[in-house]
Amino acid sequence: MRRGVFGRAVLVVGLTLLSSSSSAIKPTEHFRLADLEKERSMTPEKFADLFQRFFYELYPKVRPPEDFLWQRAGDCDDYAVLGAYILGRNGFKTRLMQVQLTGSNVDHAVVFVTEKNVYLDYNNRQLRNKLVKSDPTLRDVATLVANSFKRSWTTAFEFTYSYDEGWKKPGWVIVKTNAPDRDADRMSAQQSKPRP
Amino acid sequence: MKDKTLHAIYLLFVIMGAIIVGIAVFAIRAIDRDAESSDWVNQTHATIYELDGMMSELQAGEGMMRTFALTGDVRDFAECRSNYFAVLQHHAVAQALASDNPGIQSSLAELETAVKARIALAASIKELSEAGRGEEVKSTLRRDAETTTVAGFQQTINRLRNGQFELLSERDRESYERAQTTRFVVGLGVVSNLLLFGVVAWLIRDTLASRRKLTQTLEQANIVLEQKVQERTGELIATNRRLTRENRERQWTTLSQERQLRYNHAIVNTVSDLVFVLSKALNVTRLNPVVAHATGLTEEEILGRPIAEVLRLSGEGEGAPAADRLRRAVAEGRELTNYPAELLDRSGKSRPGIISVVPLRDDDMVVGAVVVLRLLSPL
Repeated sequence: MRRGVFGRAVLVVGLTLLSSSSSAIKPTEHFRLADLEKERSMTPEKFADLFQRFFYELYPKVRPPEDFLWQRAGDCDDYAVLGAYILGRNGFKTRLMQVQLTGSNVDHAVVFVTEKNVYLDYNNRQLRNKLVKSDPTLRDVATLVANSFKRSWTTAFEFTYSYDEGWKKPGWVIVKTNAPDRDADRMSAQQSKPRP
Repeated sequence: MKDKTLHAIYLLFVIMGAIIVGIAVFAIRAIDRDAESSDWVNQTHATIYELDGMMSELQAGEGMMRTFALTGDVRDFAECRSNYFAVLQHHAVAQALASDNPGIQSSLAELETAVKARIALAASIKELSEAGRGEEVKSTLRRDAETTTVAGFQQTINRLRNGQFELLSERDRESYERAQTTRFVVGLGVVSNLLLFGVVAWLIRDTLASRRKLTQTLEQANIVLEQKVQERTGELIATNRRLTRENRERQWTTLSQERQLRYNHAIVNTVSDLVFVLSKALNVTRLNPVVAHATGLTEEEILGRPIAEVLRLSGEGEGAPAADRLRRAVAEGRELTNYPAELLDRSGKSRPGIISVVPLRDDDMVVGAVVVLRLLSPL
């Protein structure tokens, strides 16, 4: 009788482990937004690993997440906005940042994870180190992003995005030619002002 | 002279180094200024880009608003709304870019108000459309078309853009002037350095030439000196040989003279008569052993003493003293032959004898005399 209960418990644990391992998302598989939303232990590292086989495809607006995941192709803001959304659901404090690079009207969006002082960049999805360590200021992130393009930058801003509203709502904006101590995010951090 | 030239070369090198450092610092500062200027140009371009973005997104929004009015499709409205919000996004960035320019800030504030008004208009059209009030939608759009809101927006954007282009032109001119200054300074530095380099080269060449000339002069002087040394050495060798020969001859002569002297002494010593050699002052300078034997005095007691202490000429006290006769004869260089005299011994006892006095001459000058006394009685 006791042996029977023990055997059943082992079976339940085994099945649970099996089901949990089979439910873990793999970069090689197609996965959907619901799969990401279901994942309860999503970390920036895990999230970044999932997109290593995605392709780059420029789109003027932020793509709906299902389209992005189904086509396995998108651009920087698709990835950054989705990252902010999923990591936010897992308790991470994220900041969406967009850097305006010089020439040919190029801008680039990344998502900064405050707890780890790193940002996730779609261009790094195939690299070994997918997360970039940075100070939590817009200027530092902008400088690192511009360096990764071997270019200069002019402005950078923090924004929020809601899939329902469908537009980037800008927050702090900084300008490269201004003195760093005039940067809105730095001044706000010093004065403990809330985010716009 | 050499030190002065060396100091001048050092000084010139220091000046050249200072010029190079100065040019390097100036060039680095110019590069920094160019990078800064480039950032400002990029910022101006970014402002123009944001203004263009505002205009194009506004026009797209306007188009989508009218499309929505025709179709009533909510996706068109969403697109319209998205376009207007994109205008606000560009506006926020443009505002940050022009934060130091109050003129642009006020224009941007007007534009923001205009965009918000368009968003409100689009929202009211949506409401009318969803309520099925198509005629009111048309009349609203007709009334809006009569206003100059969008045209005014366009004019403001154009004005701001032109301002940015003027700024670009101004910055380009400043950049050109800076580049010209940099070219001039670097060129001046290079030319100065080349001139200084030429001066240094000339100084080095001059110094080397003078050193070469000095070396040649020294070499010639050395050759002359060498010749003189050789000549002098030859003379010294010859003189040395001569002196050596002379010395040897002198040694031989001395030896011969010494031998002769010893021989003469031996001869004098073998004479059985008493022999006295006197100085011009009639002091005994030499005597033979017979004198000591005859007088009982030692040779040391007699030498240096006047002859009168041991020899007295006979006839003294009869006119001129005999000693005076002897002195006169020596002084005059006359000989006295077989002149009677007496020898006085230690005890004062006299013994008769006969003396002969022969003056001693040296180059016709009387330097003394030799007195030979033959005793009349045997010893």
